[in-house]
Amino acid sequence: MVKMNFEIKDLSFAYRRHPVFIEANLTLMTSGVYGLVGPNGSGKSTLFNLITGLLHPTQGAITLDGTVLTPNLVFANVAYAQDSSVLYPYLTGRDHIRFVALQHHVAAARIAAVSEQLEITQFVDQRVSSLSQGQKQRLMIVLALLPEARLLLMDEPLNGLDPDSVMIIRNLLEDFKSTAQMVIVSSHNLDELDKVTDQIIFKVDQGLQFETVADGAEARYAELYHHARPVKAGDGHA
Amino acid sequence: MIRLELTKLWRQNKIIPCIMLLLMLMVGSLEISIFTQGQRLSDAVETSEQTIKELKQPNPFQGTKQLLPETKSTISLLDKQLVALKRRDGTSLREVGVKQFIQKWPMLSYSGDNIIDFNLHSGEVEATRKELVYLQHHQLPTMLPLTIRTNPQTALTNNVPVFQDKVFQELTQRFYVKGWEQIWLWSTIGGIMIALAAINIFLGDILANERDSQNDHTTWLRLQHYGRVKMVLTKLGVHLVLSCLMLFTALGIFLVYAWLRNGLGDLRYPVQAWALGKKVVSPYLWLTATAEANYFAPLQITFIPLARYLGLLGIFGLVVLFLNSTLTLLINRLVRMRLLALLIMVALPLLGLVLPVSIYNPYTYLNGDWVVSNYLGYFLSQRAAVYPWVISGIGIAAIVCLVLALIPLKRKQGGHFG
Repeated sequence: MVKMNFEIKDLSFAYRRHPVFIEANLTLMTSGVYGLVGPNGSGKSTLFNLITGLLHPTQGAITLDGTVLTPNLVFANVAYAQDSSVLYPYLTGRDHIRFVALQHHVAAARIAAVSEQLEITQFVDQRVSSLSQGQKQRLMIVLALLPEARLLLMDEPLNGLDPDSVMIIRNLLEDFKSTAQMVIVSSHNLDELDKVTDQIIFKVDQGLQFETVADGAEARYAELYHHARPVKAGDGHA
Repeated sequence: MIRLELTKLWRQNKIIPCIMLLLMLMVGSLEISIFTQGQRLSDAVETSEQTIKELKQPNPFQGTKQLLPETKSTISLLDKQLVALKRRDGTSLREVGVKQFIQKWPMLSYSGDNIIDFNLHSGEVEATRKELVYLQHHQLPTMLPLTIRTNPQTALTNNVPVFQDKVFQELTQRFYVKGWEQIWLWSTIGGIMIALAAINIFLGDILANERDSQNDHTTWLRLQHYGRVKMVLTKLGVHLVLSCLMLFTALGIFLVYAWLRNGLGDLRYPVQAWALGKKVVSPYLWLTATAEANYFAPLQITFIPLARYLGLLGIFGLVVLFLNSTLTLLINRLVRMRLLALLIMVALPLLGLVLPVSIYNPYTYLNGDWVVSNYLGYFLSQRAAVYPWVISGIGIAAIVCLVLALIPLKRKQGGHFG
């Protein structure tokens, strides 16, 4: 594990009058894989969009190693594997890869290595519209991996995948444990998440709560969301 | 990004179908012109024969069965016109036409009763004479059939009786049956607007389609350091270059077709234009002849070669395409619904074909023929040519649209809470 400092401080954000975050705080100090868990519509994707600057908070700051994330800093240090619906259906995987590689000056060898790792070479020249959900998801992850960003955000990478794709992505996440990258994975698949990390960020009410869950994320999830709790923004520290 | 965009448009089958649609419109226009010309020529021959037959009848008021020498001379010229008409011989028709129009009472074999001298009141006859002299000077054949040179005022000033409608049509309606002439025709009937609508069917949603079916592709692009400004400028470049490319490709193929079908025509052919000139003293004898010859004073009808007209029209077309591109981007930014944006961009040019002409109607300034021929100068009561001003105005409007398209809209962020 490598020392890093990713910090969310007093983050507030609302969609119109619906608050998603109220003065939420989170501090992550080392590289590794972190899970992000919360009920549907609780704001997991919104958090990723706030980190990457796709959305702008009403209040608060998000910093990486003490520097507030600006668009330039996000481009250089953060990669985001979004929902695969952002891919262009008429373009091939290679078209997308070529574009990202050009923007980030990625070497051909790196492209080949990542493509091999995620096993996309067989369908990289097919149009996105003809790919399965799992293939699109793997392509999306390849695109996020190419720049070798320090902070990698993965939005529901295990959703709706075939067993092969799940295994490939699980192995990838396992590999991240020993790299200098910080990876935050949002997922509903708590079983799979438990297999790769015990460090979970829970989206609780309008705050974030970081915990190391020795008994698994599922048990803690039941505690947090299935029982009535007093409403209070939580602070999390790793 | 440009490559990505071009690849996307190519794979979406937008480029070739657009060229095909433009080409179909162009070829269709030529074929209709050729077909209707054939019909009109047959009608003109029939009307001519009837007119000559009537002229050969002795006049009961003259009390003699002998024809007057002037009548014999007129009949002789009309006979020659008829022969030339039957032979589709533009050169002979021009020669006879010149002889007719240097007479005091010009007449065409199919001109009917007194239409020329009684019913045309905005310089048409003088303009026709000038055109014929120009054709004679450059040894060019006339269009078939030989017609009176009308202008946008003709419909407002003539008072042709209903029973002579058909004859008036034969006398005034021209048929642009050669390649270059077709482009000239399109500029007079709003062809630029139709071309823009056709292009916009395929490219009218170039920016709005980044957010199709609730998928916002722009978020992915933004993460690749491809922000709004870069995206808008890239889309502008692609839209403009593709618009020009598709239009000129279709035009190029059309010209080859037209050349094989019926020839390209002569680029020296005279096109009516308006410019400051000396007061014209009409040689014709009817009472209003001099006033009609100076109908557009202080501007006068003049003639410029078709090549110059098409050159100016080409520059005008490029500027209008630039405006169309920037306007597309602006509308696409304001209207985020792809289909609505597309609909607006197709409807906007077509509106120009139906809205009434007015100084307050911006489409009036997009009438290529009026701008290039400087009829717009007369319309706006200007002495100088309005062409450079209109070109500059359209260019400025395009830049304003571009700037507006680049201005950030309200940022997507949360409101205050609590």
